[in-house]
Amino acid sequence: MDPQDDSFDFLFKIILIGDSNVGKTCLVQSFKTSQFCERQQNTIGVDFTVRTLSIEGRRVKMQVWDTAGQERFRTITQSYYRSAHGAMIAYDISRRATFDSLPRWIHELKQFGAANVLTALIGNKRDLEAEREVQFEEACKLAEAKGLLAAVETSARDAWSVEEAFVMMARRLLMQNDTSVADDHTHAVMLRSNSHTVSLTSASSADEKKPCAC
Amino acid sequence: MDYMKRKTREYDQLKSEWTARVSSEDLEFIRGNVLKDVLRTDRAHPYYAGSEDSPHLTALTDLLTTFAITHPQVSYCQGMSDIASPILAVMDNEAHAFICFCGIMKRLEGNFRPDGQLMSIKFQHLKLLLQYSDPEFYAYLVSKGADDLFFCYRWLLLELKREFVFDDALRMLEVTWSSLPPDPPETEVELLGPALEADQPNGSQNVHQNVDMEEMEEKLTERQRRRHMLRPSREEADGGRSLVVEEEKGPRKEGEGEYGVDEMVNNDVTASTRSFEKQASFGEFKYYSGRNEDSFEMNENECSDPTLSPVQFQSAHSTLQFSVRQSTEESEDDPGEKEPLIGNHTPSSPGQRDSPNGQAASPASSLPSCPPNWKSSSNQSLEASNSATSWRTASPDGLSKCTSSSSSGDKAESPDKPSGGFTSSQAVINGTGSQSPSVVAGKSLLASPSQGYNRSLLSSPILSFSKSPSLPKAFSSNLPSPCRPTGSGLSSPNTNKPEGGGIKPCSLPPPQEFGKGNPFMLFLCLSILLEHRDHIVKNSLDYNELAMHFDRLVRRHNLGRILQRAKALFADYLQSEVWDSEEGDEVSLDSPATADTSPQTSTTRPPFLNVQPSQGTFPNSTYNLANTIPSPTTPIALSPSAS
Repeated sequence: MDPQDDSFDFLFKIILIGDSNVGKTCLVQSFKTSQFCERQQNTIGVDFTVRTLSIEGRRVKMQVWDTAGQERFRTITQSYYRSAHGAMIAYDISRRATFDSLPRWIHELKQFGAANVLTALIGNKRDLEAEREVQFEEACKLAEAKGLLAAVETSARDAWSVEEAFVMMARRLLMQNDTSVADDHTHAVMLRSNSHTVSLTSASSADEKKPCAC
Repeated sequence: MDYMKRKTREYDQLKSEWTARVSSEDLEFIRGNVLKDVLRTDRAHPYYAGSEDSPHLTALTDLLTTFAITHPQVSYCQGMSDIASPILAVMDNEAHAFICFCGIMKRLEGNFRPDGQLMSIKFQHLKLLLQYSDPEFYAYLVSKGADDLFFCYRWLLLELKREFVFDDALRMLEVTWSSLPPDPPETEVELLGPALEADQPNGSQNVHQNVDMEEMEEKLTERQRRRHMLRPSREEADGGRSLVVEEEKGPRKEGEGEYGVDEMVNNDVTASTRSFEKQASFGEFKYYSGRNEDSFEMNENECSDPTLSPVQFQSAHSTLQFSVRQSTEESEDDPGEKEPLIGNHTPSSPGQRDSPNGQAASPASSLPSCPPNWKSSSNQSLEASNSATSWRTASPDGLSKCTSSSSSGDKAESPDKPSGGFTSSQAVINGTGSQSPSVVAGKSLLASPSQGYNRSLLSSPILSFSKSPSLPKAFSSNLPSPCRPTGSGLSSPNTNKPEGGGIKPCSLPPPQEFGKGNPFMLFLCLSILLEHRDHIVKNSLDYNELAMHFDRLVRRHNLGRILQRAKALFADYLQSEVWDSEEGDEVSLDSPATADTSPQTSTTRPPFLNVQPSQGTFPNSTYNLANTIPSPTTPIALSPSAS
């Protein structure tokens, strides 16, 4: 459909999950249009977004399934898990409860998703530093403990690290599917801007992005 | 009035008992969740725009919080704010909106239940409908693995509310709710229906009010639209019903009285116009013969209207019969409504009020009548008979009556006040009712599904379909084929079914079951799908592209075109009796009469048609349908006579 999406070398399906109102839809919008919508409608069911990235000369089509966060929609959203190549579990750094839900989301992903689904934790709303309730280190520890790809903090409002997070996913997926693609180095470079990177499961690194980093 | 006052007090009481019903923690949690969604619901609309301290946002939050607390089984779920938002915007009264919301939720609460059973059924029904209507497109979806239709999830959950721009959504909801058959489950439709209707009317009224609000801007246009949508007869009827109900209830009467007054005023002013409209509506009814049920309701409503709204009644001189019917129904409804409301308020039974909901939802008035048709329930049959009689008498006399009623409907619309809104909503309902007239014919058809009536109707519908450019080839071919067979079958009703069966991959659930209380919504969904099927097939969209395609269309759908197609398809469905006609047989009794009426109406149509255009400016879709359909109806009428 999308002219820009007409051709591609790789197609990756990413499912975006997490509690309601952590900014999932805003993350996708930021990724897609680099714009922030203050009053994003809540998502009912699943919304679809596509953007094709160019990574090392390869056109990587990222198909993002933006799901409704509320428990009530679990039935419908779960049906999308199985065919997802990657998963991004978002939480709100200013709301502890959304972080505490992560283990549940991870469990659900294991239950309904593919065995090798690539997973990253996304701590959104890092622009709300003053209201921070979750430290980045906690997310890194959780990601490591659960064997996830990485933990990243983002701000959809400031479009901070949003692109990087998706590119990171794309890169890792590309690596898995195309050995010729450079590995973590580039990856690390991308994440470098962050104050520190946390090594996780597969040599991938998660970078902590501090508010001041921008 | 009293009723609404009492209900308002009841609501205020419930609202003051938040902390008594749930812990402060739970309250905070619920309210927090509600607020998060309220702050991002329809904020682009003037009613909800501006500061987050806006009283309208607070009212919506309180309304939803109260509902969640008093309906612990359902609590709050995302999407509810989308359903409550238009109601509040139209009603502009938190308590009244709550009552309506409770009524609608009786029918929709299942959508929000974690078990997802109701949604599964709706998906299944939509799937069946698509499979039946356009097997080619369905096969395409199967090939793409998209036959689960999950991309329609939001459509079904929120009854398409989010797919349209707010104002279009109001219109769409009005049409849909007014077309609703009475709740399928409601044998009690009448009883509950009244209650529901009361609720619904309010809601619809509210909607109208909103419309009115908007009308202030668009006034004429919207009114016309509403009228068209509602069609005068129904509007009146609805108004009448609601009024009657209120009167009976006593409490409501006050409010109703006001409405009635407004309506009266309006009627006086618009009487002439209304009459035209009504006529138009009749014509539409004929068109809608397929939708007979609705039309019946409309008729009933019209009749009831007189009774219902004193003022209106005045305008609607005749229809004592109607009034009687209505009165009975209303009386029944009243209790039911009250109970439902109460029940709703009571934490325990959020969904129990189904019947009420259904009623409220539609436009209950229209629905009730429809259900009767569809349903075999005695009540329904009674209503149907009543309606039928009303129609019969009505068609001749009825027209005048209808016009009067329609005038009332107009009044309702015109009324600036909330009551006006209600009336307008009623009008809308009536409008549907007007459609329902056709429905009436449909009823007759329904009554004798197999009979020629249906066939004739079918044939006409088919024609209409073919006319509609939008209909995909496959689709048109599909429907037509079934219908056509039926058409040929006019003489032999049975043939229709067989033919349909042969052509169609499957049979469809009966109206009372189809869509679980809102069959028309399924046809709206179908229309949207068909509207884009060529593009989808041509570009070979895959599962995700399909979903994204429709996501991009949010708020960009052409409501008029979709409504028109949906009406035609729905009429075809009702006439074709694709579903097991067992229930429909009940209606048969009425059918003869209706058939007669329909023919008459058809004859009268020409004038109406002329009139319609003016009215139809907005309702276009309906009118258009009517125009297209009318001819069919005529045949139908013939068939009835033949039968």
